[in-house]
Amino acid sequence: MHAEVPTIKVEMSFGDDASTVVRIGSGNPPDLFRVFPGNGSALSMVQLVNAGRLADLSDQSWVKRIPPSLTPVLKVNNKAYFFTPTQAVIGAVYNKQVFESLKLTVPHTWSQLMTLCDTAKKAGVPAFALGAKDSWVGQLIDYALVPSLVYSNTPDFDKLQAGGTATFSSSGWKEALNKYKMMLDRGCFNENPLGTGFEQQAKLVATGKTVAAVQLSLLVPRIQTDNPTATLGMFALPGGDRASQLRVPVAPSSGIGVSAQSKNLTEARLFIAFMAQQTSINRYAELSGDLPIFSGGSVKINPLLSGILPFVRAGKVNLFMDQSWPNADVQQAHLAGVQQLLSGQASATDVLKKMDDAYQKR
Amino acid sequence: MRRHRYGLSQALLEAVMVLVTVVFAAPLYLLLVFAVRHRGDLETSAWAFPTHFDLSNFSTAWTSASLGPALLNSTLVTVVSGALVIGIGSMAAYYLARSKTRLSYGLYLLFLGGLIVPFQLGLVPLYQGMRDLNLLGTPLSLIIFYLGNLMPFTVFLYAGFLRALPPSYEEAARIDGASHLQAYVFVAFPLLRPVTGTVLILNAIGTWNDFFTPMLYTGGTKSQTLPVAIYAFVGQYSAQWELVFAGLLIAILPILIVYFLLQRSIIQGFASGVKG
Amino acid sequence: MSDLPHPKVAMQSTRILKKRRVAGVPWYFLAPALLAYILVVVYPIVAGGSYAFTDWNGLNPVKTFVGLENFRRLLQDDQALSSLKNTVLITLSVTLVQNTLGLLLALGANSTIRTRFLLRTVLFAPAVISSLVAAYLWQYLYDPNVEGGINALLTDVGLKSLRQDWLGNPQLALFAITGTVVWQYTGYSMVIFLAGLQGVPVELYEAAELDGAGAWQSFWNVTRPMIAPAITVNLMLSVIGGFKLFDQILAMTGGGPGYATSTLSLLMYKQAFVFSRFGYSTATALVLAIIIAGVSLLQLKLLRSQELEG
Repeated sequence: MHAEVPTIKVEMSFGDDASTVVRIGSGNPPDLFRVFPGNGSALSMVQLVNAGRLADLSDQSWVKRIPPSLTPVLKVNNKAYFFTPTQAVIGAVYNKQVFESLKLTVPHTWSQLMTLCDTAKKAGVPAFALGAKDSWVGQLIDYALVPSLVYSNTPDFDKLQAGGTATFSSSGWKEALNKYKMMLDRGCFNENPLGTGFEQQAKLVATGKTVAAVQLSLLVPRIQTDNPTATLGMFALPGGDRASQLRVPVAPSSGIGVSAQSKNLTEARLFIAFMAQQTSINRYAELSGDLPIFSGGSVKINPLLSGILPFVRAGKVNLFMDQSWPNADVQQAHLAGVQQLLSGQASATDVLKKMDDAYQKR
Repeated sequence: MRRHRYGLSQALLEAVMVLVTVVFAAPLYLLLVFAVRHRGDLETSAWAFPTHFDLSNFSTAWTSASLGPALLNSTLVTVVSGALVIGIGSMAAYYLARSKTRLSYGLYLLFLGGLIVPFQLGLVPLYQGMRDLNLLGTPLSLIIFYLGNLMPFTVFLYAGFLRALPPSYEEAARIDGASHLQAYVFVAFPLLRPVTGTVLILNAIGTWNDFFTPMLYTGGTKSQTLPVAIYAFVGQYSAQWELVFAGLLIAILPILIVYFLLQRSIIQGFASGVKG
Repeated sequence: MSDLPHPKVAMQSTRILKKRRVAGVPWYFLAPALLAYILVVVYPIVAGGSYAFTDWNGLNPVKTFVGLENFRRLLQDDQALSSLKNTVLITLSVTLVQNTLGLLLALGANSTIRTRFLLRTVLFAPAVISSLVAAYLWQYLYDPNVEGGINALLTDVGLKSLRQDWLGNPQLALFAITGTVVWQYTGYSMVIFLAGLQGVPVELYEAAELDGAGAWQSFWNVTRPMIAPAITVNLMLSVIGGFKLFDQILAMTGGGPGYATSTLSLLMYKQAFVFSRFGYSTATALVLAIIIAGVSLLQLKLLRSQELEG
């Protein structure tokens, strides 16, 4: 980077999102805090920018590197307000040893996926561990299916929805949720998915009690703690019947923003600039197992992602859906709705209707 | 109920009671058993009594979660706020119990209101106040918080007890020439010992275990209390149950010890409180 | 609400005597406590409560006054209604189970069984530990995948068919949380009942026995009226506690699965910190406070009358 960087003391403070909101709202924000890309939650970039809580970082050199595909979730009015070093990927993380011992092959279509489920089930090892007790886990399955079922034939779905001509209920979302339910009914998942949390999900894969789990790549370190000898891979979860439909959800992970009211603006901005250096990005990517946000320099991409990279290079990727939603209610309706779908309390139609209603909310 | 012979019915009752108690104690037993297990030991049944006691989980939990400083902070906050609230709370209750005016009854109801209203309503203004006074990240912020929030309960218990206590004792002292303060400290307050015991332990439990406010005021700082440290610890190690349970055990041990030492006085305090 | 046992006449003469005696307790006895309470509790609650009449979103420094808009929306919010239902349900189940069990245990501990002091101590112990710790502990027990959980235990003793998805089944989850709360506070109820029971003179039981009363009649006609204050205290504490339950629910289910365990206190939390509707959340808090106050007053009236009539 530039010549000398002064020594800055960085004090880390721990708090959950709730206490961060209180700190920001009462005018005592941390200098740097976690920001989510796009919109859709209290600490998302759009919400924070609308409340005037984030400092404008547009004059930093890394901002020019943001590709147009990521601009909707990384910039507001063409200005950058936060930095994230990585992109996260959602796919089916699988245990290669178990895979081979059951003579399974990577599926590229929905029917192949169903075959995989059946074979695994017959062998007494359910295909996917589902930790739906933690609501953010439950949504990952439909997040994985929706790109193939919605965006492959309607690439500008988000724009249409914002304009009012498309709804969840009348789109491929319905097929996605129904297929999700089908997976449950067909025995693709472990028993009691709603009583199983994220940690248990990792344990199930680590101990070979299930073949795989649909998750973010951050699952990998957890599995490896429990079972250091496991070799893991990731495949894209197919939703449609044509292999060409297959698209993968890849999106920027949460990052750091600078408080607009910070009393240490210079130092905080220097910190961001440091994080945005390619060497920092690469190091972060290696540690977290995710994809670096900008490519360059030498980086050891997580071998797990080798199955996904072709999709990234071909542009067959979609951002996580909630990052484009106008408020936090849609996501809540989605999360709760998925749980209700799994427990049989609601049908796909009910859930999507609630999501549509929430989309309209101010 | 029947106080004469220890016959068959008594023996049966005893057996049932012991069984129920064992069921209640079982989760705590599990906590203990897991905490001393060697990590990764999936072979033996979880409920079996451990053959060897591995204390490494405790030391790992202690250091990873920085439980030492957290324990000191919790102790400081609990003891100071507990002592202060008893001192000034009991005096206030004395005033309210002895004074029969409409105003004092109204003030008494004001204190009681604090028992019902959820404290979250005042969350943000109080936080802003602490910030403006530069108290955030210090134990003092918590001491002040508990001083105010424990007041309703303290006043409620003391006032109830004091109402049943005839004023003749203090009045005798006053006639002998003692000031109000002397009469209170040397005559009335000692008579309140059962209730003081109850208030002390109940307030201590509440303060020691409180989580949300300490998280907000001291989370991540060196003044953080035990529950906050535990919360971060569990979040980090969530499926490593042996570690988690070791941490949880450390968190509850101090308060349990104090409880076992003072439990007679708690129960006696309840007895007098309920009659009054 | 003063319930001095002295007859009216004695009270009046005491009052007259008092007036002739030394002056009343000085104001400085009250001042420090009142000051602390007003600064830390009253003023912030009033100030915070005022947010209920704004559309503040928790992040924006600007708060616009919107009058009763939040309350209007609350009445039409079906999530709020279902949360209210869950709140009432969990309060009722906790109160019922905890107090019945507490009473039975108190009756047992009030006998001459040899282990009663030890049992009493052990049964009260869970009330001493933090709700968060209790929640984490029970979350483990309810986990269907772990080797030390309830399901694992049921399998070990051959009762495989009784296994449930305790926290994952929307019909069971609320009651599973009830179990945790009951585990924590039954000892508390027991101790309060015990205190009441120990005030019942033995002669009354003996007299009842001589009159030929059975165990139930003895309980209903002798014990129950004498422990009426204990019943009042216990029921009131359970109900208020039930309405305010938060830590355990947040830690064990976060309000799920779906909305099955979402109560008003959880709704308040989500409104403020997830939906950025701080003003709306405060309105919910105010409504909850009013409900608790109303229910408490009603309860107090009903229970006091059973105390007097007994």
